Amino acid sequence: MNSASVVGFQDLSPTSQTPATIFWSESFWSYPEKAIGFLNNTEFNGYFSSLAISPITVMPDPWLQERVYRNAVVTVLIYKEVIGHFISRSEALRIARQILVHAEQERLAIAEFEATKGIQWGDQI
Amino acid sequence: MIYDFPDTSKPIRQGDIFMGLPRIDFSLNNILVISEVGQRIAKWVDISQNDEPVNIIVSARPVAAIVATQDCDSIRSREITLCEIRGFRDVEKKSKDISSPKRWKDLITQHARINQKWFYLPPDDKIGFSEKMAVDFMVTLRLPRVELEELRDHRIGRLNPTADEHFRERISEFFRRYPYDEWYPLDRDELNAYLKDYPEVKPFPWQNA
Repeated sequence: MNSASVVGFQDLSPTSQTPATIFWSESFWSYPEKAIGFLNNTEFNGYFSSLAISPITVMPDPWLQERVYRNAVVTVLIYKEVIGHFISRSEALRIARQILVHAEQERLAIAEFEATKGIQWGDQI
Repeated sequence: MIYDFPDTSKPIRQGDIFMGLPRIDFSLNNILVISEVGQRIAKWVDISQNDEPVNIIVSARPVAAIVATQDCDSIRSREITLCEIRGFRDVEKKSKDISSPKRWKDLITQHARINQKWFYLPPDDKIGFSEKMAVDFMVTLRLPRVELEELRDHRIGRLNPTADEHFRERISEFFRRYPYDEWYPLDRDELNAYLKDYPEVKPFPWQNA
């Protein structure tokens, strides 16, 4: 909820609901009276003063703060995404598979290497 | 042969043999990062500088494996460690040309004299090994205990008490091997013979004299 609205609701006291008692005229010449009447209207004054004062007196707008925070997070994420270079999903899957097969081949190669070292039991038979 | 077949109500313990567990392999030089904006390939050294978790793509192959975690840990630890089981001829390449029982006997019984990187598992139709197999101590898997317990119908058997006792000692011996430069006590002639097999070896100061 916006803080300005909170102030507005708080201002809807029984006093502010009191009907205006000023003279109301549609004639051009009575315009100053209408203006003065508006200034004397309690309800109008309440809304006007709350709107005018709220930006400098209320707490920081949490929605605005949240948006600023989200923007900062997105900025950080984008910054992190630059590590490495982008590839297609099919290429990523192919590389993952290749890594697995390569690891298995390396294990066999090391076993082959080690079989040629150390004690050769076959020679004793 | 050397296997027992516990029912699924029995808890997991060291020496239990499972089928179809995932073994993953990935490369530190080719980390496949996946995110909302797509896939990219990067080096782990670069990713790790952010100190944040990332989602990556890895390939997994279903393999047979044996529980290496000790019994006391396998009832409460977060994870269970297993060693992969593969065909004996793949793990011990010295066996590739062996066919006679006498030569097999010599190879399989080496454990009494050598600290090997494998543990022999003989074929057994009931457990599903149609050929000689071996536990490869070098290839380990780490899986969540609770979820592995839910997969106890994938447990095809366990080592019997004699084999389990041997396995327990063998795996502990393997992981407490003392790494040392084995050529350090060789004299000049022995070292020269050694260098023919391992030319990258650097002699110790006392071997240059």
